[in-house]
Amino acid sequence: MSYESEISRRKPGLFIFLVDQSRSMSKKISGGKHSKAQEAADAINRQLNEIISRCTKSDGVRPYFDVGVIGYGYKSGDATGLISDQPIPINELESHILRMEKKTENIDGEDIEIEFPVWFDPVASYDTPMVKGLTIAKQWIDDWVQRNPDSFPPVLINISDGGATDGNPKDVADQIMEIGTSDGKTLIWNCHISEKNEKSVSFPKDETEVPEEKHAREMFEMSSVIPDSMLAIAKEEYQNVDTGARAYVYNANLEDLIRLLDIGTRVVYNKVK
Amino acid sequence: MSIKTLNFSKAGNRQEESEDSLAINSERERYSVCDGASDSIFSGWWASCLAGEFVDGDYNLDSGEEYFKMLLNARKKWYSGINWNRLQWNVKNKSIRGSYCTFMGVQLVRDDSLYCNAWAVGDSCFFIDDGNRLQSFPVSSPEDFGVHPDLVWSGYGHPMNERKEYVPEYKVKAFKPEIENCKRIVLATDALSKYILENGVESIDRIWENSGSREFFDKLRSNGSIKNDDISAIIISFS
Repeated sequence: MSYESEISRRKPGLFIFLVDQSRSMSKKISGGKHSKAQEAADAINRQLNEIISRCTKSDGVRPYFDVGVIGYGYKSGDATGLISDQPIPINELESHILRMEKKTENIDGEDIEIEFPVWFDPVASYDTPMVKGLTIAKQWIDDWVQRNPDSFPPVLINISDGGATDGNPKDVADQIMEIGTSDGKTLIWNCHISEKNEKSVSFPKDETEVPEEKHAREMFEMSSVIPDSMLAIAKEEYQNVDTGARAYVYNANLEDLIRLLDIGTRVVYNKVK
Repeated sequence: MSIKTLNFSKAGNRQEESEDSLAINSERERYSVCDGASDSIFSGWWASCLAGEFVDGDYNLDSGEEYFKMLLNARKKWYSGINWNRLQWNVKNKSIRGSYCTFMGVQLVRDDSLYCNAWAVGDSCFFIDDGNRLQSFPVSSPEDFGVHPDLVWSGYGHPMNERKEYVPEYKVKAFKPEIENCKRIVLATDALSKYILENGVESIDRIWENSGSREFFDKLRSNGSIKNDDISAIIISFS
């Protein structure tokens, strides 16, 4: 059986988030009020907070997950770890908080002011060295799998608004998708975010479902097939998701971005015992 | 009549991390097991407050009014036991939504014969073993242990409690069997209950004999006979 391993302190899971920091990320995301860079950073910061919340018990945060965030394009042709230079246990994220921000959250109809941590700020600077970003991720995953050979397989979520400017990312993505634990291969989820108000393509099964643009097809090919054991959760949000669907949303607006992050992480939370 | 109890945390967790709670008041002959939901925070503490409140009170849970009274008293204890001003941001954010647990409470009643009142919310179970036959309540088949059992809610944590009133739901199931000639009765949380339903009355003999052995239960969990979860039970033997 694949993608069935329990996640525990002895067998933690791994989340790696990759985020595009190229200049075009400064444009406003479709369906949102802010830039793609801002919304992507907010969404990942929120997701890190959610992972911490899932692991929080009354005695503190239990290290059920290791996490890492990689940004690419903050300077020409370069990529780097945004919180740490390798994945760290979730309970160590506390010491990497940039600042706390007060935000209003609606709980059962009441607006409550809550303090949320921010680990990294949005950047929209240069080009799109996605290959460099994926290469760092590959190194992180390689090292992690050596230490955690029987864990639930790593999950990599890549958020970008365009094609790589430093080569073909499919090659390194293929290599990453070949790295796995005894429970399955690494899963790559891709979210192509857009400033255009065009219909998104969610979890396509066939490449002809996405436009004939080079980077659209590339990202399709470098997205994992969603394992059957995870399809049910994807179907809760997108009813047309079928066996063989890729973990990919093309032309995603803000809502699609949030939903993809939710699906990609929630399927793994359910394995925590 | 003799009583044995067991409460073992899931494999890989420390004993103090068990979110199951059991309580006994021998004088009142009231017994309770509650299973704190791992998705919520302070749920082990909530399970302990609820089990304790049931056994130390006289609540007849056939009455919604009595049930709400029990919950309000348990909630007071739960709320006052948490130092809300000293919580770290992540604990604070999570605790706003309150805690959840299942509930099983049993009261022995000695009248012309011996019978009992059993009240349940969720999938913690009550078993009657007459030596040959097993009766169970409220779950009757191993397949019926779901991922989302009914739960008892503590109400909101701080500061939501200042904005919204605690309005609990009445989801209690009741069972009133005669137990005059039974050998044993058992209150157990879901993982052990499922094992009992799958293996019949003999499994209760094994649990009785090994109630003090964490090793015995660890073995059952590692070979897949019991899922890796906190397990707890109160076993009352009449023989």
